[in-house]
Amino acid sequence: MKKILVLSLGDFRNIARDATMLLMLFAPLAIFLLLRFAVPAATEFLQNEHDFQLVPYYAFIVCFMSMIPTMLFGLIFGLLILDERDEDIITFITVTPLGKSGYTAYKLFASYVISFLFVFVVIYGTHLMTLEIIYTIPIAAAIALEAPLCSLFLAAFAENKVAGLAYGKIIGLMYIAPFIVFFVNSNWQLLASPLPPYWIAKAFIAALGKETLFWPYILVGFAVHVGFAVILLKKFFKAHS
Amino acid sequence: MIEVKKLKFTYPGNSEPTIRTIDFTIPRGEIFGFLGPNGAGKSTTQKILIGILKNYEGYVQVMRQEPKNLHAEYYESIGVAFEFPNLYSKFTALENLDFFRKLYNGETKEPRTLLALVGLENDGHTRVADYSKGMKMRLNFCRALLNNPEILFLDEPTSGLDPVNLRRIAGIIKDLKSQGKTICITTHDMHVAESLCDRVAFIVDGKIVLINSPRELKLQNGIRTLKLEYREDGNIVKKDFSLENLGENMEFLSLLKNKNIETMHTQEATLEDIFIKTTGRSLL
Repeated sequence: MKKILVLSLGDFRNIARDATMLLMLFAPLAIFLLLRFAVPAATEFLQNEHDFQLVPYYAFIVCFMSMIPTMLFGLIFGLLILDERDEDIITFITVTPLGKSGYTAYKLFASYVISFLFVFVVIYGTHLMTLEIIYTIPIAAAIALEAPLCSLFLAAFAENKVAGLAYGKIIGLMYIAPFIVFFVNSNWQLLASPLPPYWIAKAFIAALGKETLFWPYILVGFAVHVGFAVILLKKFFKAHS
Repeated sequence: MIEVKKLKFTYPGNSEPTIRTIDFTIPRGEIFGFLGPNGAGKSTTQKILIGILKNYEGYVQVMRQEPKNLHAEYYESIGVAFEFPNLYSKFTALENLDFFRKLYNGETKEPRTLLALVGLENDGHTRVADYSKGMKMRLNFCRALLNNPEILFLDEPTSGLDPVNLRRIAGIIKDLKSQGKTICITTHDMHVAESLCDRVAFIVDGKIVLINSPRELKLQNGIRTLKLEYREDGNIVKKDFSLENLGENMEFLSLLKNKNIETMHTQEATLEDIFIKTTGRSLL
């Protein structure tokens, strides 16, 4: 526990002294404020001025926006890993009692926990919709898996931090999946099924309708996320062996 | 303290081994130096000893542990300073030391004391990004002492240091030896090896070609003569004398008594001479 605190403080100090990462850290807060205040205001404006109903799109907005902070947290931790790799800090940590596996476990765990908690902030703190806690917990647990996935993706593929920022944009493409799930009403949407967010969006819709299909969707979602994580973890350790 | 027998290592993807069967032992309290040109296998050997490279062949024991199967406790007892300072550049020196010391479970040294030891006591609050190379090397060195280790692995510890700080770091290393610490140094600087190490191993192309104390090597490979210079009628006169029965050599004794001697040197070999003679290679 002491070491988790030490590592967290170290990470926070690194983020606070890096303009890009600091901006990325504020983005989830901006997303929350947008959903909490701007969306209701926009709903009222669109209804009064253009007779357009935004409320039916709230489920999509919340589903999509609960995933974006996770991606950002994942990218931040990925950039931290790249920073530490660029400075060869990971090599030194390997020869401390924490070790490389302890270091990796902490990074993935930290990004997961923060993301898990923030999903609750988005779903319940914005007051845009209601979702039973029995669905929110597994949804948050699955969404949060995308944070370590994003971190590992950067750590496994990007050569340095600059390349990491470019890879971040590639990761962003994965979030086309919720759009397809919500707005493509045909079997063509299965084309997006290899993308991890696809299964979460499917589970999200099923949770709103309290459908029994929720559990198969969420379980497949977990399996897809864990499968990707294992592949990336192997590549990460191979790259650092 | 360290025992290595028939060690071999090939980097993944390489067809040729980097380490080709080397043997050595390092007893407790010794400063042992690996001397060799770049790419000879010095750092690779050290990486095996500290458990970074595990896919080796042969028998390796460090503090009665096999580096292939090390546990976290091992790292409580060793200190490592890599060749290139790997520090958080956005942190100050004190923040760096404070961060790393908390990764250890055992008792650690006070960062300010360590900074003072290497002459950085007034730069503790400076970010490492603003440090010169020599300052980073000193910080890198003192970080290796945080956990009061039993064995220190130092890779080119004096690289980039000015003469004053080189002497300071050498002094600290000698102090650590007097405290019973075992120190394993890799270097291609023969002066460092000569002045610091109890024994050196010449390593070339992944093989140890010679192990001995610098003093023995210098004596064995030197010429047993004494070269003397004095001035006579404004001219420099050079004379060579055999060291055998030098105290009974009347000419030598007469010169000492009657002439103003300007220089007098025995002709032992330098480590660099011996290295080149033994390996046919230069150190750089």
